[in-house]
Amino acid sequence: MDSTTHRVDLLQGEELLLLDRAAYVPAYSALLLSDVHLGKAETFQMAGIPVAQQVNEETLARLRSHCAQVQPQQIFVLGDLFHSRQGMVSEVEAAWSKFLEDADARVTLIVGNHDRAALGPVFDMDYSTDPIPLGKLLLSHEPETIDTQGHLNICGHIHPVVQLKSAIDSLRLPCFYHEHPSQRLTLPSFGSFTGGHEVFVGKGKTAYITLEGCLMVLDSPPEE
Amino acid sequence: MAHTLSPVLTWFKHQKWQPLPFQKQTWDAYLTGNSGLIQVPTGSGKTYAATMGPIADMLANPGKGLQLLYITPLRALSRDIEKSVQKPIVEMDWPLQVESRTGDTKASQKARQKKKLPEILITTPESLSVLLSYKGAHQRFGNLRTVILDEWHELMSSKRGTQTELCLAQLRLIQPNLKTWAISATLGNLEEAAQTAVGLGARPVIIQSDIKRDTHIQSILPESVDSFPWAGHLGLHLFQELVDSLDAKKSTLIFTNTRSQAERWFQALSFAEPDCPMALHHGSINLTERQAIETGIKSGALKWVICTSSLDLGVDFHPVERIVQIGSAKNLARLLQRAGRSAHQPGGTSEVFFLPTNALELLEIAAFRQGLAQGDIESRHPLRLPYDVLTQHLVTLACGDGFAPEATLASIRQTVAFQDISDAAFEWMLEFLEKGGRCLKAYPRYQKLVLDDGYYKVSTAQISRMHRLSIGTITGNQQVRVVYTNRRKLGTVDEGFVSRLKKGDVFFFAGRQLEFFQMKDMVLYVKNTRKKSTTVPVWTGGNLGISDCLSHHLREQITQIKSGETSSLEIECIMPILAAQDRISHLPEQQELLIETWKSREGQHLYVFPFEGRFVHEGLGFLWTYRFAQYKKATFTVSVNDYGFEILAPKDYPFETVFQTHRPHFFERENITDDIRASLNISELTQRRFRSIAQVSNLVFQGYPSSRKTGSQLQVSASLIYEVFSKYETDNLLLLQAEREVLEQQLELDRLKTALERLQTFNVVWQTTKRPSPLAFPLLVERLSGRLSNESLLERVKRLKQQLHNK
Repeated sequence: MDSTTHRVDLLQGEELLLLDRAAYVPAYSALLLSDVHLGKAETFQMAGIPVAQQVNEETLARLRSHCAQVQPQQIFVLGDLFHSRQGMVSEVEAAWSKFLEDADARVTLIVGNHDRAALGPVFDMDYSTDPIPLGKLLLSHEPETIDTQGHLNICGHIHPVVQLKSAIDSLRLPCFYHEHPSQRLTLPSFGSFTGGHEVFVGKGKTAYITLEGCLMVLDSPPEE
Repeated sequence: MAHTLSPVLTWFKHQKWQPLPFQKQTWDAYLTGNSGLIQVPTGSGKTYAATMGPIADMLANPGKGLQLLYITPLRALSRDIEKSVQKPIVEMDWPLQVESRTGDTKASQKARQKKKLPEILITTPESLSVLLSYKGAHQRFGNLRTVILDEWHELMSSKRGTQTELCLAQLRLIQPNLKTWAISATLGNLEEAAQTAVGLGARPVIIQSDIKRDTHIQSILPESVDSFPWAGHLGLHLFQELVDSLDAKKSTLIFTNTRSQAERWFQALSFAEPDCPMALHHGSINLTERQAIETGIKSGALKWVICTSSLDLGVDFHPVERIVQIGSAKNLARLLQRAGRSAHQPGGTSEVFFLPTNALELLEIAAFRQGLAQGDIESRHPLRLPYDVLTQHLVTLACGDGFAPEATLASIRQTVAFQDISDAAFEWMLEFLEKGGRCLKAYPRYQKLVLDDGYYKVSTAQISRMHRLSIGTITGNQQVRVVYTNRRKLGTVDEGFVSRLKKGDVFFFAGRQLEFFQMKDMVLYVKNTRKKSTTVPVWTGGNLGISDCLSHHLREQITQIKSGETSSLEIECIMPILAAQDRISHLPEQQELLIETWKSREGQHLYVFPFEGRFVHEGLGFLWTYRFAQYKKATFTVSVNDYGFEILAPKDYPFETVFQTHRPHFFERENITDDIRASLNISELTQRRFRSIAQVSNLVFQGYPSSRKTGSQLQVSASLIYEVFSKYETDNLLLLQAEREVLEQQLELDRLKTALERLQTFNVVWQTTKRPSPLAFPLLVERLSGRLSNESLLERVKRLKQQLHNK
């Protein structure tokens, strides 16, 4: 396996490989990602805030590189593929259609809150408005609140980030956030131009950061 | 001229007033067609000095529409100014109308004003910008004769000052004969201040009153001073001494440097003197309550008011007899300003009680006294090229009648802020606003400005609407409103503070014990409680550093102490500490730079004491760290205060050997900018600085008032915008501005260079100590506070102190 993927054994779950802002399930040859927010730059431009549309290209380039690396047979987007109705301009539509055309995998979108407002055009992919079970996993957009019955719930929506801080420096990094008691793994947001919601590590709460080809595990506050 | 002034003189006679010489000078200068600046202490009749010339002219040569614009930095002041300008008009039945227009003005009145303005309008820089953002500016401002800038010393050196400069440039474009008069407190650079006010196209007249006001400083001293001065240790412990020296019958303003300190002191003082009518006043307390407090001070109903810079300015509080300053005011101008809040009669003496919050502040008191005696005062400079303010201003103009690029460029080059703007920079700005900058080039979807028949205008009504809501340059953290469950408003706290609270937690705010009830839509609902708590909200704000002027006097004090030349109560009080410093390490003489090293379990500590203020020390600390690392790599931690800095390195780091071998390199000034860039995590600092730039240039939309929904698709943090810009357009002027602000304003690079030049010639006294010296100890604590939470800090400090005493 390539050095940029990381094997993680999660209690109750299938074996998972963590990539840059996405996860791969070898048992089902499935690539999981969430909160892509295509068209966000365009939404901002229309409001007079100049955000370069290269952020879409960068996001899709990362997705292509993951596909090339792990060769998935299925891709699950766990919601918020698109940012807004305004942002669904022809370039954004064309870019996503092109990706679907080139991809050798079946693509499924679990419709997220942003998608519901944004989706007008129909793409050549599967849609689901319900959570999707995958072996011992349960894929959803928002965290599942019902009993997942022994499944590990993998979701998005939250855009988890952890903040690392010292007296003179501080960093916010997107992370995979595993909450052991509720058996939930929240994926980082995949889109390049997306913000984050700070989460905290501690007892039963682990954050995984993939950074420059390394995996960092944070599971309790650093000792003083 | 005497004829023109006669109605004014008549009114003065009715009042049984004799015009003061500086008032007459100002009227004469105005009526002979001049612009200029008046420098007088507050409460000396400056409002009538500035307004009566223009009013006399308006009476002699009546005009139509708005003729006099009075700009004040605080909307709270506008009511008082309106009242005093109204007085002669009503009493003399002059055919003039006076109104205010600020953020507090009713919408109905604003709408009426949009159609027809009164002859005299009192407003703030922000409200003036909003007026310029409506169509019909030529008709609205075409008859304007005069602009008066109140408290110009306060406004000038901030982004609000730049905003004012730009608005004035636009008004002068509409009305080339416009006269401008600024009112300022004393400053080290009055000429520059005057020129900034009147623009580069005029020669300002400067009028100074000969009103002298003496300021006496009396310090509140502890019975004994602990031999280890921990920052913050003295402060509250002295509250009994403070209460003893105050009089519950005398009207007193008690100034603190931060809002949290004000809360704590209010808690302590109201415990000590439950029967004294007192109140708490700071910028995060609800406006209505603040107004009630101000009224209470004026009527004499309130005796002690604990406040922050929220009461630095303006309103004349005649009953105020005493001023208390808790903690060092850090610069002479602020101390004088605060001192001036008492004894509001010309020629009176201001008395300030100074309460130190750490032992070394005793030295600062002595330095303040010396500075005042020598008549020193700091300079404040207008900002140079803050592109974010220009971005906002251009969109403001585009919302109204639109702007012609060449005429506008010529007019903004008449401001001090933008006199040096290059053609290329202005073109970049237009491209940024029209096409979204270079990275979006030829992308048709971008909407902001369009060029229409030679004028730049806003492309959609939605953009104007959003823009008007975000006019202004005051930026800050996201605030959460604090409201009683019965919906009575208390004020605001930082979102960061609320995020650490949970239901049932008790905290002290606005002088009350409050219990967290629930948090909903950025509103924190609270209930009164009897449960006690010492938690006080912390508002993030810039640290104050001692000014160059004060640091100079501070160094002189130390030199004089060493030579036994100076003596005062404060110095006597701090003597045990200074003696310990001299015993354990060394007390630096003139032309000496003290450096100490100390070995602890944490590693090797280096302490350097240039006494230059915390911002210079920050830059110097990082610079030296970088230069040390060039000879021997290691991980360092830097901490700073106003007296010196600490570099912590791993065990046995050979600080002395490296320094002595390469000494000249440590004082080198040639590559200083590059070295600083390389030395500290400049991108992190720049990114932090960019936050407010993004707000001012409207790249992050704050949302519509009282609506949490509309903005959701446009919600973005400044750091994301920063990332995108630095990835796709590295020479974006707003990014470059952020870096320039870090170097020039945050690290005070010019002052740093001067300091290096000075230190270069000094004798270095290198001391290896067995334990941290009294001067080093506060730095040790400073670093810990960066790493630990507040609660455990105290414990940790106590422990450390214990260890120190045991040795």
